[in-house]
Amino acid sequence: MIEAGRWLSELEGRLEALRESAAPEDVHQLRVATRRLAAWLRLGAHHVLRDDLRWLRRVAGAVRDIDVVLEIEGDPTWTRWLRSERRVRRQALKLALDAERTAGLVLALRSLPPVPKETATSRLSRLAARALEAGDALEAQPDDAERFHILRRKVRVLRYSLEWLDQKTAAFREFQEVSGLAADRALSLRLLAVYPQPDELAARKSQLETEYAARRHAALDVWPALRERIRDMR
Amino acid sequence: MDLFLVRHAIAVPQAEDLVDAARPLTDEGRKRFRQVARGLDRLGVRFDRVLHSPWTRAVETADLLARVLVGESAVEVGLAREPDAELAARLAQGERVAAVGHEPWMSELMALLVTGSKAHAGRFAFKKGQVAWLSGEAKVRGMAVVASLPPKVLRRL
Repeated sequence: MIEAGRWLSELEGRLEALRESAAPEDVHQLRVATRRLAAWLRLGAHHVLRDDLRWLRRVAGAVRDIDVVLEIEGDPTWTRWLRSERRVRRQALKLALDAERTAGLVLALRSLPPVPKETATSRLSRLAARALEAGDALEAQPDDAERFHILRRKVRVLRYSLEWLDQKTAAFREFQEVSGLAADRALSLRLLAVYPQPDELAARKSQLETEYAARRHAALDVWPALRERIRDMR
Repeated sequence: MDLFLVRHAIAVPQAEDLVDAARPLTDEGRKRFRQVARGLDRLGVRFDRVLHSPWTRAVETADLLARVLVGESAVEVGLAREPDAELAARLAQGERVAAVGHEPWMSELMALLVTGSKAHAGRFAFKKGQVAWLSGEAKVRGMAVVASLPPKVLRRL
């Protein structure tokens, strides 16, 4: 039987910590916990509660996006704007932390029975198939940013599912790390698109676009090894 | 809007070593409610929101409504306590919403929405797995009953 225990405690701990402060690590780990718990629900064939986790993740994600970009950007005016934007998003997160929906979500997760290992294992081949489909779609159009994003998501879901079953995921982690560097640049570009003075950062934008393309290609270089690993699973 | 009030399916009985909120559905309860959901499907019912109490038997019942859910689900703690006007207003989250909860609160919620008073709850008793279809505005005395659909009827569709 697979208990939600460890990651549910992690979720509760980060929720508690974020009521007191807005430390980037707590925001990051809160998102990770929501993703891992969503994978657990999927393994248990639960449809509901995943939307609640997605809602919480989206609110935390708005803050996390800023934190990621602050780690790689240095322009003082740009980072000042990012910090003020973070304060606004942090307020929205605080409201979500105190919402009854969050309390209900935690209570519901805490009350659910553990997932039988056989049920969880039987779900893996479908998740693997989805990751491979996403990989095929990206290989057909390697410059499609949306397809890249979808593959990253499917790989992450499969990785977390495997980890609930105590299986090795080194190839998954490598792909996530390499593709994550591209995703960080994509985030910078997305926030630049809503920055009120984009002209001041035209050179940086062009540099980010170049970096994004290079890092995405690096991720595509890593994908074939992972693809084989996933095929072996089936 | 159309509001479908749903009482959870048959759950395991209370036991000393089991918190009430954690009581899961029985295999039979799951099987029967799957047929109820199929009946709703055959009636052409689609929900753009399924709200449910955080208690396991309501979560598992809401799970079985996934086949007729075209939008999102959300946990609603107000469905696991005595209903009030605020809960009634929070149910207005779409054109077709299902709310999965417990007795006696489902009866009280229905009485509140239809008659304006929880004192009339006795007229609206829910069997396990029963569905009540209301239409109107999600507020106190804002809705009318379209149909009361006992599980036995839905299972035969």
